[in-house]
Amino acid sequence: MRNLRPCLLGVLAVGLRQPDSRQVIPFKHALDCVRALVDFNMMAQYRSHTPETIAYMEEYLYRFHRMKDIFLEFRVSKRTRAKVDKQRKELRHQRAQSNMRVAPSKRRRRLEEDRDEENELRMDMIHTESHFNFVKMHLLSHFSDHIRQFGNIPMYSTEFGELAHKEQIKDGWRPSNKNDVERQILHSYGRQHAIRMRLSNLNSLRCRGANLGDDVLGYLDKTTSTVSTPAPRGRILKGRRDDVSDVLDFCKVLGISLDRICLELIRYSRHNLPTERRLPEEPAILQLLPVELLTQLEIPVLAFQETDVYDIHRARCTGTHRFRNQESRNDWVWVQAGSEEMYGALRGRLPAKLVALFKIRDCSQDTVRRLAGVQMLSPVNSGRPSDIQSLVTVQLREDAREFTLVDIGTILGLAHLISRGRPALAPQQPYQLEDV
Amino acid sequence: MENVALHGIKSNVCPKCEVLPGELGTDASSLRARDCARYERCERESASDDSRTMFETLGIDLEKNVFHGLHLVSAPGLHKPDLIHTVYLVLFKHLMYWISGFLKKHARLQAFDDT
Repeated sequence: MRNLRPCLLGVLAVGLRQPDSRQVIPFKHALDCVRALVDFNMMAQYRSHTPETIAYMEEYLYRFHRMKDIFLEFRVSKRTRAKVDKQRKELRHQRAQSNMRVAPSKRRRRLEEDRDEENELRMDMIHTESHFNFVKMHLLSHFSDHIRQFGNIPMYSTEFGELAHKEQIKDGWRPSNKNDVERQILHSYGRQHAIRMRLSNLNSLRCRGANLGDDVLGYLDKTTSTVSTPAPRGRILKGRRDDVSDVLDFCKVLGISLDRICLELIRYSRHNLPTERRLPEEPAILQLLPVELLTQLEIPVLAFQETDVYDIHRARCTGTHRFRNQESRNDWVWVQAGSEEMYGALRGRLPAKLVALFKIRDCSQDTVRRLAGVQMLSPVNSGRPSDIQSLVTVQLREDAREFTLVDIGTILGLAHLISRGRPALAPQQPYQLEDV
Repeated sequence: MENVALHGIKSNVCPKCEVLPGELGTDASSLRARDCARYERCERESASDDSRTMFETLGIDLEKNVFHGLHLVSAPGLHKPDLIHTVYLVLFKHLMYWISGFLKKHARLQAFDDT
């Protein structure tokens, strides 16, 4: 369910696109309701709050409560369903008696009227009997007060307790001989805990300068876990392919003309490199420059609201090759394409599809450039999010270049795009962006 | 369910405030917080039918619980929000059920599944 949250709104927005005149308002309310709950949940995960963020949370919750009645008819309990069935049976019974006296010519019209009346009564009954009165629904209203009083909500997460089931119970059960297993589990965890405490005490004594034996110190050096250093900020290219050695091979593998690649390399060199470090511009020299083609780019991305914890995004670009015996994989990534003021809510970032990851060596200067060939998308409506689902739509323009070279330093992380149409990328095909 | 035992309440009431069971699904705010000391005092001083009815309405179970009589302990303050068991495992699960019903009603379930 946690993984559902980021994609739910985008998928629902695509599922509810192009409503007819009667569906416009219910679809808008449904999207508003889901959006409010998703936004509320996202704000609840913040690790630091200001009065504004708490006010946002309260606003989202208020909006969710205002819109949730659109789903009321799907909160029907068994008791209500039985009541609805009983009401319908009684109604039909009454009608069967009165319709006997109706002329056959009027009977069809009467049947339609009866059906409409039956639906109306059913909806009235459902709306009267159904409700959202359950405790978990109410507990959301205490989140903001809790933050004001005690601090952020993830601090009190029960996730650690849930994870303890593995360490304290399952890890003890697995090596046991399954006889009198509860006692073995308790002994196993108790022993491990006691050893950890003993090691902590010895470490503490060592820090204070206590005289410990060499064997103890050696054992402490072996067992003490080192403090994990933050992930390096650089990007790492991995998965070298052996079928490419120079620019000519590179063109053949990608299926792009040599002229096109040379043009892009020259354009990249002129726009991004200082004059004295530019790549040679003669095609005869350029096409013989050594190239390494790679399939994976590791990008360290700062975790949400953290300053020294990184998530590693692994962007794959296998070209036409299969990935782990499945289809080929060429991921969508975020590229920093301009300043923060550009492209509206995208803040200077554009989504792009990886076409190639490669290193090119300029032998004359003995420098290596780490580049990515990408296919950039453009924002629709200047990157302004939709008023209904708050998502930005992007598309591949017909006049867009099929291959643009960027430095891998400008790749910010994996992008999550939801296709509105066919799965393959096609010109003018809009995409919905989720990670805005 | 552990809240029921810890806070001495019935299963369909809030452990933090005196919201009525029929108002749990509303956006009711600024409700009176639970005050266990007051409940205990009421129970001691007047065992009348009125106070019993009041406790019944507020969903209070007056048997002694683990926090009974502890000085400076506010049992309602011990309840902490739980994103996993409140939002992910309950509300999002309900929401998916409602959404699938909504999509089925408007013949959009296939488009949603395809996406």
